[in-house]
Amino acid sequence: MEIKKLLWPNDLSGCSEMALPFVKSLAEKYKAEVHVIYVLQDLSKRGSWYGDFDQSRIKKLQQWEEETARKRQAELCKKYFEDCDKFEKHIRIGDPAQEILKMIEEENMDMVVICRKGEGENNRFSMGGVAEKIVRNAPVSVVTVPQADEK
Amino acid sequence: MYKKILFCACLTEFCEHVFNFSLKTAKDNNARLWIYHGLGRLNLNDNEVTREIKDAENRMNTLFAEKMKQQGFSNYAINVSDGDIVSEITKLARNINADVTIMGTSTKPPLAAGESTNMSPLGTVTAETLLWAPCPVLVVPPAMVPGLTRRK
Repeated sequence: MEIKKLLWPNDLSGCSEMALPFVKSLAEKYKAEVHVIYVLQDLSKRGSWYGDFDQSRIKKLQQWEEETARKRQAELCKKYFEDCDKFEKHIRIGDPAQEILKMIEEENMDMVVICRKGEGENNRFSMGGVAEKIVRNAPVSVVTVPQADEK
Repeated sequence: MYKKILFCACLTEFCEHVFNFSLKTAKDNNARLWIYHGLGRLNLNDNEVTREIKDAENRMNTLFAEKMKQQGFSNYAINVSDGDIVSEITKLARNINADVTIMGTSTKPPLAAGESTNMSPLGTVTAETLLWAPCPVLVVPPAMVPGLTRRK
């Protein structure tokens, strides 16, 4: 088994960090590159219910989200990975599942490690929507990691 | 990393590439490999259930044990049981303290003519195990079946 590139979709939630030990040990074992991806929601495409949004505020909000994600990704690398050269950071805008699947194809990923539930899901009886779409559609093996309180 | 691996076998042809993947992972990591096959809920008496379990064990020995012996891998255990398959898998994963559970997407053949290799019908056992497993679950898609993959 050869794993050269490992994709770690991270929505900066606690559950995403549960995947960290697995990402780290897989990366060390197979000397693989770790690609972490954060997908921003494209707020500008949302329709307004009560009149038009002020576009500058949306831009500002998106910029803030992007900056926070960049900062957090840089922290992750410094804090948990010794070799930051093998830690690639990606930020994309759009539908999370679609962007992650696109990334798997474009970057020729060998494996995906993803948390069972993301930031949005608090339901014990269903899987995270993004995780499920990835498991169903990814052309590579996918490891889903449970949350700490689900073990 | 992975020291205890649980591989859920469905005893179909499609299962073979998932088994090869599990065996390779176990060898790479010097891990112990549990191979589990669930028979589901059987409406049979005790003797018949025992016979069914024995039959399945024999089939698993022919399918997997021989192959492992040929490759010089002996750190494995074969486990067959009746009862709800998902409950049995999660129970076993919890009891052996598995580091990872490896399974395929579905027991159905991966491809019908013209189907995409990427789209995998996620079987109910896999979908529910993903939800209830106490450990990470690694799903091997049909796109990784040798010959089907479009990757170099």
